[in-house]
Amino acid sequence: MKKYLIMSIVGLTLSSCSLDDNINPDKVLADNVTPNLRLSAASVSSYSVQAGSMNFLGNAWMNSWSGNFATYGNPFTTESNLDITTAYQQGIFQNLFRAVSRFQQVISDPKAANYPNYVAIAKIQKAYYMQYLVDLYGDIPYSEAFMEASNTTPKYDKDVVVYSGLVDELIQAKALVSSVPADAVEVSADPIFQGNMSNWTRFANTVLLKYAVRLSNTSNADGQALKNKIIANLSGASYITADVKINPGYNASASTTQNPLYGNFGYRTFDNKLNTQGYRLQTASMHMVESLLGKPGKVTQGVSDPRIEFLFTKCNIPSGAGGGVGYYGFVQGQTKTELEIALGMPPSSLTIGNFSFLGGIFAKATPDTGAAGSATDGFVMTLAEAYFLQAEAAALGYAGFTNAQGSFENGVKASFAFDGKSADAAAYITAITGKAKVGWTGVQADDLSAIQYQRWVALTNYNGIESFINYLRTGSPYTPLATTAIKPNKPYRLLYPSLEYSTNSANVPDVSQAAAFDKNAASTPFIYK
Amino acid sequence: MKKLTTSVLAVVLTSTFAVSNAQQKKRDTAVKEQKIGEVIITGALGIKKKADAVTSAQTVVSATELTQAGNSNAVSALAGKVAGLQIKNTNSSVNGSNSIQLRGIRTITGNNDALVVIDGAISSSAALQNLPPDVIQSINVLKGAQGAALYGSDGVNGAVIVTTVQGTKRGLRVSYDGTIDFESVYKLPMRQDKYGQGWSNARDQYENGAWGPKFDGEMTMYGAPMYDYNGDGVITMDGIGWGSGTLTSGDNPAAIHAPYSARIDELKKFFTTGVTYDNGVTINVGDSDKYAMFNVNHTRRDFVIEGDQFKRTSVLFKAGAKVGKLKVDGSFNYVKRNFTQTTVLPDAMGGNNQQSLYWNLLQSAPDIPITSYKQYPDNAMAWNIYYFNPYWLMKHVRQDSNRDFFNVTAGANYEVNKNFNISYLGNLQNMNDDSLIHGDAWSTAGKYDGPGNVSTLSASSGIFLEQVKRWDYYGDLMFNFNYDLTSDLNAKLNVGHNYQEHRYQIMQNGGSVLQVPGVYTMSNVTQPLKPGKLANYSTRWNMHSLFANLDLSFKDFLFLNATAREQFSSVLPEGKRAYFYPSVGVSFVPTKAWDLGTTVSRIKVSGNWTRVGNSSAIGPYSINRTTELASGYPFNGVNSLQNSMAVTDPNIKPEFVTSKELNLELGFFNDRLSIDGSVFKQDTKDLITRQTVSATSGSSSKLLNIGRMESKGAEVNLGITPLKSDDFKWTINAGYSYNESRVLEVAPGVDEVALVAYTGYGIYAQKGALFPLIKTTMMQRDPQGRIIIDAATGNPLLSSKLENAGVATPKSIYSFSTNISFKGFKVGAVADFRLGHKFIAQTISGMAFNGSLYESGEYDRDNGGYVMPNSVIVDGSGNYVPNTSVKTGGNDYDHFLTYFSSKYSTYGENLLRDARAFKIREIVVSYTLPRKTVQAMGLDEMTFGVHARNPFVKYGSDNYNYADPETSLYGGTTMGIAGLEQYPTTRVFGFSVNLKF
Repeated sequence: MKKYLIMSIVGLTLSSCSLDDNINPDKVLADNVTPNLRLSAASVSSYSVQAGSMNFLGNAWMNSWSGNFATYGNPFTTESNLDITTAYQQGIFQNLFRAVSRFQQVISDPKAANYPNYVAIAKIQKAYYMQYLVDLYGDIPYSEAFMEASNTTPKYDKDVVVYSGLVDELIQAKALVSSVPADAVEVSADPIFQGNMSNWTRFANTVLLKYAVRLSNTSNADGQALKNKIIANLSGASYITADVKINPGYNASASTTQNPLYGNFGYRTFDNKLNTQGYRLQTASMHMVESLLGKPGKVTQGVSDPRIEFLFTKCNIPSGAGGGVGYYGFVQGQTKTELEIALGMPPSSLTIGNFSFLGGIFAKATPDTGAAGSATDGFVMTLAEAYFLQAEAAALGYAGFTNAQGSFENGVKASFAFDGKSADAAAYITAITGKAKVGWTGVQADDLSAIQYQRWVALTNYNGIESFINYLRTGSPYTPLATTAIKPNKPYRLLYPSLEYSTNSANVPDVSQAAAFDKNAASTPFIYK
Repeated sequence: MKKLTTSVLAVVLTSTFAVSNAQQKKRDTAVKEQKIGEVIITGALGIKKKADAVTSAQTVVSATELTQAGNSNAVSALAGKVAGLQIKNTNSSVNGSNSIQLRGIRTITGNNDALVVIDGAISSSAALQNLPPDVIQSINVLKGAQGAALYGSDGVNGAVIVTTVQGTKRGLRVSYDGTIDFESVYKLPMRQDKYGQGWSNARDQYENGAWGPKFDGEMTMYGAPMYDYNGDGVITMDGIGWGSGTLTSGDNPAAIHAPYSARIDELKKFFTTGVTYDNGVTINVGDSDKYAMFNVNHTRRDFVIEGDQFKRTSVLFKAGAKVGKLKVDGSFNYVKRNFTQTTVLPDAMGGNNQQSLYWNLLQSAPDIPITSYKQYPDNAMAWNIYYFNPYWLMKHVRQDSNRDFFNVTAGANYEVNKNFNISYLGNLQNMNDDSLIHGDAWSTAGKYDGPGNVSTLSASSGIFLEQVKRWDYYGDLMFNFNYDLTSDLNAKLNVGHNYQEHRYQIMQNGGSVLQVPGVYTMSNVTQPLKPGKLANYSTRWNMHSLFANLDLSFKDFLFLNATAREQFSSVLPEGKRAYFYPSVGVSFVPTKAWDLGTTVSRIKVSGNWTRVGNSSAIGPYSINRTTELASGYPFNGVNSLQNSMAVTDPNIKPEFVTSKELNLELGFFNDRLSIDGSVFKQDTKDLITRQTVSATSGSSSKLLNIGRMESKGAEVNLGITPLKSDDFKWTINAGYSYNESRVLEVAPGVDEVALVAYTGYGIYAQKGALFPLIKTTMMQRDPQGRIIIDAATGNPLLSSKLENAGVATPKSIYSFSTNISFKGFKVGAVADFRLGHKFIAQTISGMAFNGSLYESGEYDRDNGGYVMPNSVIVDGSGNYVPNTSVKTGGNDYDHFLTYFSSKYSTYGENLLRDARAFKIREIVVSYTLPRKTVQAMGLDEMTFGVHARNPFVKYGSDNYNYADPETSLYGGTTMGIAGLEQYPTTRVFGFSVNLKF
């Protein structure tokens, strides 16, 4: 009896004496995932940062949008007063770095040699998005970035060094394209060009050109050398011939499946609620409305721009401002009460019906759901941008670039086509020709300014940050500060996020708020000085 | 002789003296005396030893102390009763939960909660919370690290050893325990009572803001019309602030009409009086060789939120028998627990604009006639159009949960000879938990028009289903030896093996936009959630351990205890799965070694050293490098993957806690006066941290061994029995505990890690600072500490980075309890006072935003703000000069509004408050009828009681009831932030009846 009892107890214990293999049965292990399964997510998540917080910030700081004081107590506070902190817009830095890391996971995949086209596409997009990080933050981690658990405190590289590295990656990418004949990119893995590698080569050239134009004003010797290197590389290059769209199959089934442009700023949420924190948060800004309408005091004075019909919705102009149906917006920083007083209207008489909101795909649709808007394409880069880059390169006298005016006008036409206003393009071009800082004059400084103005209008609502970076680089177009601004100018950079100071304190440079507003501060990105 | 009456033992709350055996012998009417050092205490792994032989600090809480105030939750009933033990209220809803923490903090990201052991098998505080307190015989709290060292990594935070009623050996006994509690909200945030609903000094009947003009008592209207008054088929929102509507025009007569004046009490009236019924019957039967016990208990709690209800039914059966040399015991416990409560839909299903019920309620100006909306639970919009009608939420967004819990234990002990026996204890726990969250839609389309309609919030419908299964096995095989080596030296040795296996499975499903309103099933969902938004997985991990326990005793005054455990865990990296955890302790009782006279009746000195690893922060499979489905996928039937952004160091190892403890126990005058003290120090190295990492690495967090932490503290208990006679006894017990945990190192190149970071505040582990550290944005100060004001705007300049603001756990806790008994009457009280810490009250931010904050009513808003006391401005040459004229909050109403709603509400420093709290936790009065009287009624014993829990609470002077600091937490281990989902403090008054047959 005793023996059996002991034996059975000991047996029971020993029979279960092995340990679990500890291999997760519910997830795909990283080692089993190949580049073709990774590329699409990388492209989509990177674009969502550009279309979301970067687009928002750019439109706010280009004074295209203004806080909707008719509905909200204090919208656009920091966007207007410019009292930026390390907590402000941390998402741009963090989400973009995390998204770009997914391109790096393609590039560094152990089996990458079998997937050269995927690697090329990853490098092109990595260079495209990381340029924004340099433009907005200056020095950033690059050589030690994206190493995940192996290095969680990457060192910071000089902004010009990062630029140079990214340009090299673009040039490498062009060489990689179709280097292994068997490596056809799956249509479903590439939500941008569906695997069309000649389009990727054209896009790589256009991104290289964008780098070269960004370097137009820098006094940094390495930057100037880099510019010349790019110009030489672009000899005989071809550029994109259509908008660079992205659409993996956007739809309205969840907040995460919407086109991020619409998901962030469209009228309806995926579940058909009013998008109060996205669409309703901002109106058109008065500066933008008056610029498009050619009101006195604006560079466009006397020229009305039909693109306003696409960009913003019509509203009932407040009676104090003349009444009628048309376009009206808040002056950035101005509260509802202040506006009522300025217009001589009684308190609480202004309502949201008195203001223009985002138009086009963003506006209330028929039928009134978010389905159509959610499914529209995203735009990584528009054709108009590519033309304006070529126009600017020619105007700057870059070797191999000619016919600045032709490219400029093509850009304007492309923008009108984008806005569904192709029929009006010719008349508009005629109206602005000779109008300094809006249309072509043949005077280099004014024409460079005109390119910035037209790029701003072309990219409003779609890629605000691109216009803002070009504004910092060139000072054009004229962009007023909000009435509540406590700084004399727009910041030349964002502050590194506070989380970076707590997670990578040994490497992240100290940048004060004051330095962010000083063009000549050591921490200001090199392309601006 | 050193003797103490057993009844005194019952009230020396925090002594190391035990009562468990004494309690069972209470039948004699004569006061029974027992040597306190001889009392047998059940410690780790069920090993019993006498109190003198215990080498680390332990406190026994008896059933009487635990249940005196009728608390149906055994965990929260421990509060204030053991020095060094802290109960945190992690969830204050109807299905409230608590965690038990002993002697502060040893880990940053792992578990700091004490191990709960019920009848020999490891369990959880959730299981203890669901165990009816009636069936608990005693709880031995192992505070000192060595007491729990035998449990290895499970016991690193100390242990709470729960022994349930063993059954009787004296024939059939039946008892009944019944309690009824009345619960009401006690502490609601103070609000200003001078300005009403509106914005910018103008009335606005659809506003959540309290930024209207001063109260004037004129008749006005509030909120959206509740129905289509004029019968034109649509509810027109053209009310005050939004159009030309008047009190009598259009649908406006259907809005709530009331004078424009403060109604501060409305907030309190929103809450109802909750009632809890708790009934239990226990049947005991047995003789000297066999016993059986059966308990049925039912608890029903109707919460202070109408409709929120909790029900629990527990059935416990225990039996044991001795047949020759074999002794077997078994128990079976089944607990069924249901609750229904108001909730919010998860974010992914459109719940992101549904703040918690309490939060919606607080977004009300002080004049809102809140309870007038009670009869309109189908109108999602009440007094404002930006937040939901709380009554609508209560009816339309709910969670229903159902849990079945089975717990089976079987034990056998075979006595080979008088020096050697073998025992096995096996325990199986199985939990199934189902939850359904469902929300109804609300849209204005077609039902509302008018200018106010365009901004009106809407809600989408949805359901969220969750099923959790848990399966845990625990088995101990032990060989127990007991030899007298010489006549003075005894050795007891236990060697054994422990096996644990834990399985967990979670399945979620859900989606939004229900086709047919009110049908809460997946087939009615039109927008199912994407797989990436759902948790569907199962885990299994197991652990083997070999352990040994050695107790040596020399005569009856010198004791040595040593333990060792070698533990093999499957969650650790291959090849690095085995770790060794030793401990050693000694105890010396001079009063037994020498005769020291009668004044000093007892001296005991003990000390111990323990080293235990904690791997609770390492989850099963967490060392795998995995990928996850990218957000939004699948698109067009194709998935795309990305690396998981939470990564784990492939060489991760347990964090090691080395503890040293010294204890002294003194008794004077036959132990009428007792003083116990402990000092301890716990050093944790290789701290496991889920470190938020630089986004530039591509990851978001990394689990790794970094840093060191040191926790030290002391406890002193004073027990006095001022009066004692056969009929009358008065005892007082006072305790003080001190504890602080300091992070000594974080990681190379990193000075701090953020455990949670909001804009404006966060909880951090910072090198050289106490943990958990609260950091906030702070108003900038000049070198003399004066606040620097921007001369142009009047706003205080804000620090650009977060600064150290305070520690989130109390440094000091004072506890106090007293009991007086006179014949059948008993009076008792328990109180404690926690101080030395701070917390963030999120309510302040919302109240400052909407203008209901008390401070924002203390100024004449028409004249703007106030000159900040002790402030400076920068003059033209850059010097700081005292500010005597620049007003913070400007010179008019609008600037005042802007300051409070967008500045004050976002300055982390303003949300930081003193977390001190004094609480009288329990007051109880009971009367036990004379035995003769009840015996005439056929009863054995009858006791009636009246009790109160939390009858009096006082917070810090700057905490205007914003939140109970005890509810401040962020998640698992992070304290310091009282969220908006935590309901206010409640207090309870109740009655109890105990009958024994």
